[in-house]
Amino acid sequence: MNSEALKGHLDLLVLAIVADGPVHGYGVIESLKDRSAGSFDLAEGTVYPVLHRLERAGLLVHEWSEASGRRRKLYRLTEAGRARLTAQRADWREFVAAVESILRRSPWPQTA
Amino acid sequence: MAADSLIDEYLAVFAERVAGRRDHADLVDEVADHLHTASERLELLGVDPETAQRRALARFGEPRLVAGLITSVPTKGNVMSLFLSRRLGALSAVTAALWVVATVAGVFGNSEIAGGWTPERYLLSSVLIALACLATTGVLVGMNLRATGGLDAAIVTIAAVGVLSAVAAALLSWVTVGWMTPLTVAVVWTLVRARRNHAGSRVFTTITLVGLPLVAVGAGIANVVAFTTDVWLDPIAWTTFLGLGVLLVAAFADVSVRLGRHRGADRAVVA
Repeated sequence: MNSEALKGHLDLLVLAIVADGPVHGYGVIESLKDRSAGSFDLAEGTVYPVLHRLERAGLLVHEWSEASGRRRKLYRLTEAGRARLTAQRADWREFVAAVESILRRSPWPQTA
Repeated sequence: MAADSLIDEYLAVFAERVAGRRDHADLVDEVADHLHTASERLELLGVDPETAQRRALARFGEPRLVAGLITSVPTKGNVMSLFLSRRLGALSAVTAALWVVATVAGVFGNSEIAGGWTPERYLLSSVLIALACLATTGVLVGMNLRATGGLDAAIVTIAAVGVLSAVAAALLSWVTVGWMTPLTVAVVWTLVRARRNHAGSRVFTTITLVGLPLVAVGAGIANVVAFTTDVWLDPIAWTTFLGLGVLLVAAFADVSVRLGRHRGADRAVVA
């Protein structure tokens, strides 16, 4: 899929993935790829600015852990992040439903 | 091992690009963990170490680009940096406009042209120059915060030097070297510090970096001649005022236009 199509939706996708539990940047990228069956295959470095911006906005927080002898930064949702995810998910479903109803080529509404 | 050095080399370039950030060690650790994890996963799939690291680096993106994207997000917890980053374009535009006014006022306030010198003309020009110096200091602080993501000793010093230039201009604007010198120091210091993520064009930055010190030297010569010979060299005085004004107006207008063009596009670009 053209990565241009992802612009504007990355916040929602990242929030949805982080909602499943503390996850590091690499894990977010892997989940994006796996859960989209390979459609969302990003230049990996571009996901970190999104994570940092979401954290800056108070939607994520991080904690440090250790794995394989290295420091690992794990992100999780804040309450504000969870609320934003719920709102954005509802907006997205409304948008998809509206687009779908147009693409279905429903018959012209009959008046009386 | 050769393979290890690939990630190390990448991290060295990345680290250099984020060196001005307070959280630079955390940024480097986060990227290092990603790159090592990615290459280890590939090795588990049977890819040889060197190829695994090359692929991991290729997938991550060019280090300067990634560092630029990451440093475009202000450090968490610094409200002022975000505030200034967002309003820097508007502040630059105001500063450019102030320098237009201050330059014209400076030439009129310090020369005999257009009806002769008057104290009122001189005082008005001093106030306008001081205001332009203060606005410039604001822009410089914003540029520094944008570059480093947080307040540090250098930003405080640059701000103090900028305010000093405003005070010197307000008190004794005809001694141009007294306020142009600290102003030049503050601008040049900032441009050198913030050059990696400076919003302005490289051409304007280079011209400013070369031109401002020359103007300050010109101002010094004009002042020395005036002190030692009782001759006020209008052409040199005008040249220094106009030179400083043109340089700063061009540089701040450039920053303003470029930041305005990118406003609202603060989402990370998916490469």
